[in-house]
Amino acid sequence: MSDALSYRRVVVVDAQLVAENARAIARDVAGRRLVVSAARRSNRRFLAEAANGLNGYSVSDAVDPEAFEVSMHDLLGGHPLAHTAVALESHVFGIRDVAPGEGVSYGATYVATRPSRIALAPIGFADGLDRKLSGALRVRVNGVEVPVVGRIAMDSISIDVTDVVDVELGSVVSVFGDTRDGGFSIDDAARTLGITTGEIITRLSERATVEWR
Amino acid sequence: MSAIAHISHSALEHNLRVLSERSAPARVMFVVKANGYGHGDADVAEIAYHAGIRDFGCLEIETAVRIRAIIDDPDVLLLAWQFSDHDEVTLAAMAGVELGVGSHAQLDILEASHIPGVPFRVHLKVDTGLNRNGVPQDDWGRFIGRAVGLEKRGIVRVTGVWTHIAETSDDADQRALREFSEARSVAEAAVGRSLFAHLAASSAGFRLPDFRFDAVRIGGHAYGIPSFDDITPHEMGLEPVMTLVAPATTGSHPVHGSIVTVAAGYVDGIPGYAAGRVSVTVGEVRCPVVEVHEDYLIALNAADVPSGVARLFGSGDMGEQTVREWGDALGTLGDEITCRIPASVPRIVGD
Repeated sequence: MSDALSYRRVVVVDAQLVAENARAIARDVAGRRLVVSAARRSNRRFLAEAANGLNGYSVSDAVDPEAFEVSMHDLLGGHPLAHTAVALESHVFGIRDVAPGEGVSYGATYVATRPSRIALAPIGFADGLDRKLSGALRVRVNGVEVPVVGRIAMDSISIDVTDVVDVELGSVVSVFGDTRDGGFSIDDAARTLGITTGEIITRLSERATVEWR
Repeated sequence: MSAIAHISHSALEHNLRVLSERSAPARVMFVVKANGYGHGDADVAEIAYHAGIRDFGCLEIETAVRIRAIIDDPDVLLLAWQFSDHDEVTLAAMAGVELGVGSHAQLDILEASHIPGVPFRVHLKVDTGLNRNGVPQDDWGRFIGRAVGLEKRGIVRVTGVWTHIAETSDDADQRALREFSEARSVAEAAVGRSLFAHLAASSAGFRLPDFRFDAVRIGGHAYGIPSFDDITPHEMGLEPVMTLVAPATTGSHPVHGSIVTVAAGYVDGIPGYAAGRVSVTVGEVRCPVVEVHEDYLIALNAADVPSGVARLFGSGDMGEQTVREWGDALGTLGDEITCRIPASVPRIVGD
């Protein structure tokens, strides 16, 4: 947790989970060498950057009939055997007390039913949080999963943090990420939207920095 | 192979002219955040500048500074309102970027980053019911007092006052209008001069003359994407700026029969849930999209058109759907669809 105001958007790649995913996929194809497809990885800047951070895995344009080709988004969780190894991370940049009956965000599709604390995070549909996830998306604030309320806007989301006690400016907001404990996952988002997990991963923010952790 | 986004110079110019005339005497602040709604922020800013636009809404300082590098004209106002730290705001001050400030925390950053002789030029933001960023009205007086104090110390120069309305209902918007007018008066009285005031975005700016103040912040409409229900861009006098095209190859498919395979897929920003909901055109013939894959999509080719170029969405002049129609079909905004097209898809500016 930080107490600073921050508008940073970060795509966080979990190095350990990527390695586990790679091992699981390699086992599934009887130990063939994995090649991260250069053609596919180049379509999104963060995927290219993530692929550049791969150590010990080939990133190649060369055709190798013995190798098994995976895309970067497979390794990050798009593959059926892979765990989600990527999160979109941001920080609370505003906190607002909202009275019962008051709306939040455009069109006030959400109206508070109790005295509520609403936190803002500077990530939105331009960062790949599909606007159709409005009303379904849940994110973690300081590790606690809470609902996004109102419409997802281009550059921000509003989060109901009434039940999180220690939220302050700078608190970490995380979307997707390691949700092996049952949190709102890329799979949940994919089910809600009727698309693949790989698609959601490829759409994560182009205006975020990429950090391997 | 991939898709190409054609950006129509003439359509953007036309839209900005129409919107400027409609907004006058208020100015158009052209919003170029999110890579110019996916159109390529540097390109659209340059076109807009040559079309007479002098105010740009940039969201991020990084975007504003890049645009300053292209348009080095001191009369151009570049406004950024998401910023975090000393380095960023110092860059803004050096590049003549004005800052939208909607919280004490943002004032804290400016106070801590004081550059002697170079005050940060700030637009103070009041919340009028969106409950997002912006200073709550019950704190506005104190906030203005603090800004005036910082101005006296040479840390900031208050140049503007603004808000963002929720467009929930006419009543709520009228209330927001009254609240903003009052907040503006309070601010102007405190700083002792008139301030550059802006409240409306595309929608309110188009419909409601009283909401225009000194500038209307226009994103979607400038790109030819209507924000209203049940209206086409042409009915509003606007032209879609982006036409997304990709190579189309005919073939046959065991399930779908005669098809075209179009070299644009979800990595190019085409939503997977577009399958079954939108069509592309090949040679002015509409081909319904039935599958969207990673780097291609499949559309039905009932008319047996030959291989060529598919238009996914565009001006509508060649029979294709507009991005607004895609948005309607997909239950979202055209803005979201253009926004999600990654930088790897080349933007080609032309007529």
